[in-house]
Amino acid sequence: MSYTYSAQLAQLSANGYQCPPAGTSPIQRDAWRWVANPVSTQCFAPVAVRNPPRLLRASDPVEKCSCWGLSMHMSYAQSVSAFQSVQKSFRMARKVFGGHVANLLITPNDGACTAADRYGHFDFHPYTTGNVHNNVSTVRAIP
Amino acid sequence: MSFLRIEGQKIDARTLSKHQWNADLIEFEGPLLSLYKSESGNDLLYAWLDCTEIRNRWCIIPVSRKSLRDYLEQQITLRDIYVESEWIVIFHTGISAKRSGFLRTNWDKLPEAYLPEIDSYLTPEIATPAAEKLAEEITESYFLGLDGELYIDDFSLIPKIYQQLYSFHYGLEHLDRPAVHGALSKLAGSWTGGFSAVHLFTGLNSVTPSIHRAKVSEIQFASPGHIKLNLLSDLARRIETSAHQIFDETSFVALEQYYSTVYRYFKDNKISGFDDERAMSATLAPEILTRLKEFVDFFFNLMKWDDYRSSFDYLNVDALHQLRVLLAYYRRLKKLRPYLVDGNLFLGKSRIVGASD
Repeated sequence: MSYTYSAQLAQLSANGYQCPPAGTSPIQRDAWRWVANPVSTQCFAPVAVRNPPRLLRASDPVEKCSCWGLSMHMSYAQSVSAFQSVQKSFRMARKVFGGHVANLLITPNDGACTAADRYGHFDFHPYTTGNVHNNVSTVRAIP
Repeated sequence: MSFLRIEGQKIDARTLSKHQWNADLIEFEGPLLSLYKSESGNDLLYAWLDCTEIRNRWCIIPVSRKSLRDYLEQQITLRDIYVESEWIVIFHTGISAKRSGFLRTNWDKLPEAYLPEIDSYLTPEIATPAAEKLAEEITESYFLGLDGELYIDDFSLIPKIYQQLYSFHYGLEHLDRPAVHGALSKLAGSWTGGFSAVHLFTGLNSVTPSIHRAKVSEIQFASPGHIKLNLLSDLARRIETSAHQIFDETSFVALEQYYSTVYRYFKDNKISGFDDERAMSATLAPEILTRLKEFVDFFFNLMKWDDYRSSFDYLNVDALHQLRVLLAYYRRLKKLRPYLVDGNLFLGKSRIVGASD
């Protein structure tokens, strides 16, 4: 399987930033991601390829692995809680993240997931063979 | 779709000093809140505010050392930092990271929708590992004890050298911070001689956030006296270890012999001088590179820095550049030797009775 952004990930690794990080693996997992409603392919585009990209430094795409991945959470509660915390500091967060949470099933054919942190957050790096946009089962507004 | 209107004064970006990225404190795929440092050493927060279909809007907020520490420790909110700020600069980014539309304003001129909520704490679930690590390390009081006859140039030199040594150790102990790793690799890897030696130390200082810098909290001198600093004590202990190696006669002689041997080797192999060495590194014979690696290892042994070896390997620089950096450190350290030997400088203790208690 090859990553959708394999050339960019290889460049990051060549620059000394291992990408994806150690422990990233293709697994089957139920996941929750912040999206707009209706959900579009843009909701599953990494920051580095979005237009406009929410990046502060021109060097971010060659130094930051996370801007080539998709942020997700292990549970609905964790996803909503993190969004609400972000929104307290950035009140326009719904404009950039969408204000809804989508439930989707990730399979080993779709891509690889980093290890989740203690708040259930992980990055998903898509494979060329996957299309997680089509795996969305439900979309709920974030309260 | 356009941005909310903000009253303020348009400014030329060139009027802002250059800001150095230090760390992202909140990020989801891309940065939302980042820590920068100005040329004058002040901390700044870059916060995401808003977006349209074609642009993102950000602001720059000055933050004091105390407020940054309090924010990292969840004692104050992001809103508090906005409210405490004397000015705020707004700017936009588009398809590229090029910044435009600079506007100077104040927090009370911002639309309420741009101000963080009253409970906008840096909670663990949104703080980056970098933010957590910054908060973990606490500075402590530390004395540079002074005694004997000192002149005004001594008061200039001692703190300057100490700051450079501190920056160096900060760099080696914080290579897991991307800003530090990037700065040290870049500065050491693009070595062009003595000019680079200066830039190496100032460059490392520019990626040291105020909460980790050595801050002067008191100066007293009537022979004896002291400079009381607030700093990361682990780094101070590292400097003490190094200082002991140049204070001790036997290890100092060994270091001086080592220094002469290395420079003789440079000369014999035509790698001496301070010209641009980027091209030279690529053409060095394997046996020379092996010998240079041995010199690097030997320096670590002489300085009792055995645990720094793996940190150095983590840098994306070859043995020649590693050696250049180490020798630049040594030249600075050696300047403290006369003060240490003559009883003018005491690391870690004040000569004023009761001050160190």
